[in-house]
Amino acid sequence: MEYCGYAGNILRVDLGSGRISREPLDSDLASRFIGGPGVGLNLLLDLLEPNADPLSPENPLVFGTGPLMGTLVPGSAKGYLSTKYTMPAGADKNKCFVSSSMFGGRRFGSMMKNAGYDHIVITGRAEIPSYLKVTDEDVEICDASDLWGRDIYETSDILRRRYPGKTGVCGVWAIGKAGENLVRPSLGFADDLHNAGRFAGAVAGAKNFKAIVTLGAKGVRIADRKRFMELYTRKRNQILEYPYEPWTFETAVCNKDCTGGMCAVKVIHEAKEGRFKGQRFGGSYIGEMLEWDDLSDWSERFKLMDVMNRQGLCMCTARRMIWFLTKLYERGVISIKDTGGVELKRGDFDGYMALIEKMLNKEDIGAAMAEGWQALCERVGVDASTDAEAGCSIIKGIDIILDARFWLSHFSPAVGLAQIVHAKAKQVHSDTSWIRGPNPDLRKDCEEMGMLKQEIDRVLTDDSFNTGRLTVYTEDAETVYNALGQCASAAMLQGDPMRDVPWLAEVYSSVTGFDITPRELLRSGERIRNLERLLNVREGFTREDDKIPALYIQNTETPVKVKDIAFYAPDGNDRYLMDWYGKRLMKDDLEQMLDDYYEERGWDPGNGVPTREKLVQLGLENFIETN
Amino acid sequence: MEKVNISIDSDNCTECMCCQLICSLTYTDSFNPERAAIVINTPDEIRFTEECKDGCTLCARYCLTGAITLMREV
Repeated sequence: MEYCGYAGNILRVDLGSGRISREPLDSDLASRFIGGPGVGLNLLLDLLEPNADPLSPENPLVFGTGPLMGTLVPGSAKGYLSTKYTMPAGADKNKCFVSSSMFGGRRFGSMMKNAGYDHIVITGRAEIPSYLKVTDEDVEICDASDLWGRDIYETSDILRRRYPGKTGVCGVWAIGKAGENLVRPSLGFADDLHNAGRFAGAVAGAKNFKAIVTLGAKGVRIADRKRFMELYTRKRNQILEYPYEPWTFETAVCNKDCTGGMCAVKVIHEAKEGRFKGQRFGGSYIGEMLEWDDLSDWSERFKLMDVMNRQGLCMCTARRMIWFLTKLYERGVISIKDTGGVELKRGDFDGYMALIEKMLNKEDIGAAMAEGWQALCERVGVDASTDAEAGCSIIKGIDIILDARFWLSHFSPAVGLAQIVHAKAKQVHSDTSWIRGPNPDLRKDCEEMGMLKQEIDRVLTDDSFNTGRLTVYTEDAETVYNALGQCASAAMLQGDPMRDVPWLAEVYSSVTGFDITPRELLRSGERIRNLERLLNVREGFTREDDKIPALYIQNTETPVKVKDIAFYAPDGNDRYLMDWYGKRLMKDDLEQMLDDYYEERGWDPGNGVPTREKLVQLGLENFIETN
Repeated sequence: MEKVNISIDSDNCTECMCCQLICSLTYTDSFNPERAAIVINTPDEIRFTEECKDGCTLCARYCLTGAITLMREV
């Protein structure tokens, strides 16, 4: 079958046997699951044995893109990585979530498609450190002995010099020392600036797998060029008229973008003064930069963050672990003996850097940090998930990046409930793209998700909305973006013009030649979301694991002091857990949201598993036995 | 290849590749950055290849960041 939009091929690489094969993309799979993680999770489903060790050769890494990737559509730059991730949800180290990470990029995804592939499935373990070269001329597993031990930027630079393109660089995804040393809170980066696969770096490391290079000139064809350009031009003009300003900072040297992007949120910073004057740091990490507020010297912040990015260490989890240990140290709960000789105090760069090094090398207390929250809490004898002063909100073994207690929009479908019910406890952008606090346009927002009138009527009330029910549709809408290869955060940054599933349905048709209605597109998002749930049910996850974080519940009774959340509390008030309208939430309110969510999803409210009826409705009958 | 009617400032380039995408779509009938007639290797290099069509200003018209701009006629 000749595809438009899609490259039309899946590449399979077994690092153990060295076998490389190519197969056509199944058109039924593409039409029902669109692409991106929709197809990726299906590929994973066939290969992943339930309860497998995520660090075993049997855990596949599936990379890929969606049908809009590599086109001019603003924000059509999202690749994905599907795998079983490395962070244990509890004492069983093999009970880890299965999901997909979305990541932007300059060349990695578009060059993958131009090399002729929508998806790359990597299995097995290489005997020696290896990387994968994927071009339109050939695919080769290459010796990475000279790259192993190098950081991500060095590795990517070497590979870009080794495989120069005719009009620009090749695409590169790579891991650093954290992934190589099997540090669980590790990740890879695509094209230097785009964090790709939080908690998956060690999956690659366990395969002796360092990097992927992509380069090609096959081209991404579109079915109806005239219609596409009309749709593109209309949206481009809407975006240009929208009042959006790129992020600017005093420390910014320049802004970078993703392919086809129009928001340029990847900012390269340079410290103008301080201990590490001249230190550069790049990425879209505003919150993370601000949250190191105990380091008044910004060059120290940049240094720490640059080291973590270079080595592919998750800066969010590492920072929270460092703070956790520092506060326990100051409290006298742990001592210099526990930290392996590191003296810790708040605002002391040297102590922080020493812990990062220990984590990367898995030495002393760093060995426990490298194993995740469960291991670290056991080591120090304190439960971080319940310690309001030193700990953080944790769901399914994962610290929450945007804590719903603090975030400006309070407890919302965007930041609160979706974290609790999602496989990987929602990370950054997620559904924030859609609903932005109380606003008079909620009905319009819902229509732009492709929701039907009866669904909107069920979600919206006269003066408010049902958080549990609305979350279902915001999740599905976001999943549509992911499946298309479209950036959900661009929808947030570029504002109203990019919150437009009906427009995306038209664009999808013009690119692929497959007609689809907005509601069918949203249904595909729902199908993918259910498939992801089923994969996690196989791993033993149920409603029991969709736990409301203990700190959220504490915060229903005890306010967070504004001094601890100054950045998030511009009103200067101590903060109870609240909904968007400023009403205090209690535990029962949260449980009710969960009940509403499962009911709207068509999942059993008792165990959180998709019901037979829902699976039949979605055409997922073949998964009923899995259930 | 120099183009008399287009000005380049690579400091403004965000590497969104819109120039390569519109160029390749127009002249190769597919989105194919490697077959575009403009090379983007920032921070140092933005240049046109020998295949670049005389008088074509598409890249400048689709550049959103001021990296490639149409020069005003004197």
